[in-house]
Amino acid sequence: MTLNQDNAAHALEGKLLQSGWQVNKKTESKPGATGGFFSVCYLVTKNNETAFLKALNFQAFFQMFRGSPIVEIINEQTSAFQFEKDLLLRCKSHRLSKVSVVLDEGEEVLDGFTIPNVPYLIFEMAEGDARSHMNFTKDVETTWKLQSLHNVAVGLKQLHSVGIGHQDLKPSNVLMYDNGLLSKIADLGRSLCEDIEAPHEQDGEFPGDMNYSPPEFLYRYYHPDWNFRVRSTDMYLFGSLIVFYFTGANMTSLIGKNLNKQFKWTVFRGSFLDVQDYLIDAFYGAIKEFKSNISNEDLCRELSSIVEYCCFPIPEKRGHPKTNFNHDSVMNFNQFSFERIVTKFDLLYKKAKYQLR
Amino acid sequence: MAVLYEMKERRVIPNWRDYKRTLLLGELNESNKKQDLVLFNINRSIEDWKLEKNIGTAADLVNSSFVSGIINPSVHEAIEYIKSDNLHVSKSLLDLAQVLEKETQNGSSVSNNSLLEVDVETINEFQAFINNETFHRIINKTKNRSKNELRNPIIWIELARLHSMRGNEDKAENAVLTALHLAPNNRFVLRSATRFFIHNGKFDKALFFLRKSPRLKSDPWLISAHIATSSIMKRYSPLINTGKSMIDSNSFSDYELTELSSSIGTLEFNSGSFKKAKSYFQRSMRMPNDNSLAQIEWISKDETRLRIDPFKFKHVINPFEARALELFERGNWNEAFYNTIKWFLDIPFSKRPAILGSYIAGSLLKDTNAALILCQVGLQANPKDPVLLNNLVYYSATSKEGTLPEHYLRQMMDVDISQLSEERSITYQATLGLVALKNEKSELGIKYYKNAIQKATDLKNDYLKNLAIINFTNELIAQNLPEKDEYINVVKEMKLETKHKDLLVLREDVLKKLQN
Repeated sequence: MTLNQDNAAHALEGKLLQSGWQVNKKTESKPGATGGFFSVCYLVTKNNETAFLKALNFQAFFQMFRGSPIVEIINEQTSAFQFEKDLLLRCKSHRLSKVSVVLDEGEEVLDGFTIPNVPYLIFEMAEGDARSHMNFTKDVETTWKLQSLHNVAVGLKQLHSVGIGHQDLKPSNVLMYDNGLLSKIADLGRSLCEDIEAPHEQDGEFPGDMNYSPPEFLYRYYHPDWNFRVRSTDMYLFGSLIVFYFTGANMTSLIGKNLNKQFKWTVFRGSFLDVQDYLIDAFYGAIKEFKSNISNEDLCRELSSIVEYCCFPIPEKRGHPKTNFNHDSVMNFNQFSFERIVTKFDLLYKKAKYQLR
Repeated sequence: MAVLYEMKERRVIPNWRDYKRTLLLGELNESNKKQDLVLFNINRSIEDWKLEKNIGTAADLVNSSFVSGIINPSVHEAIEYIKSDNLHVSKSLLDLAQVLEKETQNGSSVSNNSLLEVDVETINEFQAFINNETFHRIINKTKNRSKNELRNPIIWIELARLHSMRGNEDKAENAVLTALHLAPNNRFVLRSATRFFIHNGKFDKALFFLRKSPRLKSDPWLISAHIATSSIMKRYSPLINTGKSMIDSNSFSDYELTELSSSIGTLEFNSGSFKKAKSYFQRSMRMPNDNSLAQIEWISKDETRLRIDPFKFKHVINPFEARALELFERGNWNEAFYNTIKWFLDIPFSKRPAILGSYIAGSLLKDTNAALILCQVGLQANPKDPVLLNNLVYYSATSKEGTLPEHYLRQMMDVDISQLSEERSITYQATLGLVALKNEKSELGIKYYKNAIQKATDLKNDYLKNLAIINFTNELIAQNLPEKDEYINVVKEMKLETKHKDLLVLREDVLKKLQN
């Protein structure tokens, strides 16, 4: 018997789940779909609604971590699954409209397998992620970009309102619905929550994809305050997403491109304090480059101003400039609120849509 | 009489260049830091690219590769995809792909050990470079950048440097203070600020900002600046022992220690400990930069046991000061002159290259036009500098036209001679003597010259005494004044040291004039 033959997660095709979902066919994890190595994905239907099922694959744990203590592996992976499920259920119960939420969840038991239990999550079916809709040419699809970014800003605001920091916002985690007119944030697998400890939360390290990381984490600088760190990180990632939408490069890449090689995080072994002034210089170079990709002067000014305060490379100086950076205001994190950003993007989107000047 | 060197003693004060060149010179490296690098993984982006090839997944993979520094065949595919997709690609993304592609190939950024913002071959090109219109454009651009990049300390230092090049001391100081407020611990900012304050005689401020930085005690480049600044002020730097321990610690590269070793070597040399000085200078020469190389070249003018050949240090970038001094010592005036020009282009607010260059051009190459251009350029950065004023008036008076520049002459007259050093007052009086003789005030002119010669004699400064006599005689012959015979004999019998090759040439010129 091969590993797949003795793997309940791989044997769901054609089954009618206890929750009423009909499992149709196994599918490759599409770009941007949540899942990855520890999941097996299927298309499922119920009442004419097609959805996406992600089944937890226990066998993969043992393949991936061969030789490691089994209890630790199971504990780690089930904790991760449970954590993501808890967050998704919280989002569902709060009816977050701009977060890709779970439609259903459960556990199927299939007889005849060494591990018969298959926990699963069912998500609404997306058309793809933001990358599949991208056109980085100057002034193309500006309205769509602004609309999508507005949706994402709303999504982040909604997540923050229920105590969740996404921490892994990137183009592949923005999913498209309704012919691309609606964007939702997906994949809470690396998120952090105010009141549920995440299994991947380690000494303040960046939990998301390092290739999109804010610069401070790349030099191992972690702000000691949890709320500050989580909120300033989401703000950076959002600014970086704006930059990606309009240039195809994320802010971390643009900073790296404008930074002298000797200070780049892949070679520089000094501290964040040692490098921060050079990062600021590189950051302004990145902003200049970002601006050169937008012809409309008003839009360019508005967007670059948002990107500048969202992505400022020093977290203590990041955030909305109208918020005084004194001790008290830092502690209410008003500078990282998405309220203003949502309003601004709503306005920018409408201006672009109706071609207002 | 023109001045050759502006100062008696040279210290290892940080050179102040623009940020890009300072980086390329390697003066901002941190080789002693050993923090672990973060780990990256780009598998997810690779998988997504393999599953669906479009501009979005290509961009995602190229970004991941650039940030992580991980390159593999899929990344190359994505780069090619971006390069070939003109319809969906932005200039930034295309640039990023090309930069990433280049990073896989090695390339040297500095060649011919010269790193100048602009290089020139002739004095006319030099004049064109420093013309006001070009400069105003650069300064306006930088001002606008500083307005848009209010929190960028680097741009404020760049602006300060440009203001310093035009002698706008107040504006430059405001910009330096802004940069220090934004980045009080940054090596580039602190070293630039130190040079700025020293350039303007504000030594206390230089020390204050260095002392204020917690970085001072752990950074050899800053300790060196602190020792050199304290030394100018005749103060003892409490960081000398820290610096010595640092040199012995093997925690830093030879290059990072070159200025510090040179600074301590200079202190030991000035206090008479030749053996210790030699050891520190040897250490500084393991991997010198332009500053430490120039320092030993300067010291070796008077101490032959420390003589080195600066041309042997081929890896040193911008060694123009050391080479200008060496070529001057060798009597190679032409090459020495062009090295002073490059030295000036390297550090355009400094008056020392302008002073030496004007002397070589005017007195030795007989190109008073070039000498005047250098003086004027030097005065832009250092308005009312008495040495540059002196040289400008002197070369105006000795030029073919012989027209005295009233504006500069008035400025020169306004200088309080009693405030000048004894050496400077000698040259000043000699030049005033020349001006008086040109204005047909023979008695006054002779009086000034005689005063200068007497003062040099009292100071036992044979070099200045002989230079004053040669200049005086030259003018007496030109004006056919009766005192000429007495001084011609003095010139003929003058005993000159072979190391003073410039005086040998100048005396020869006078003697040739007699034969004609």
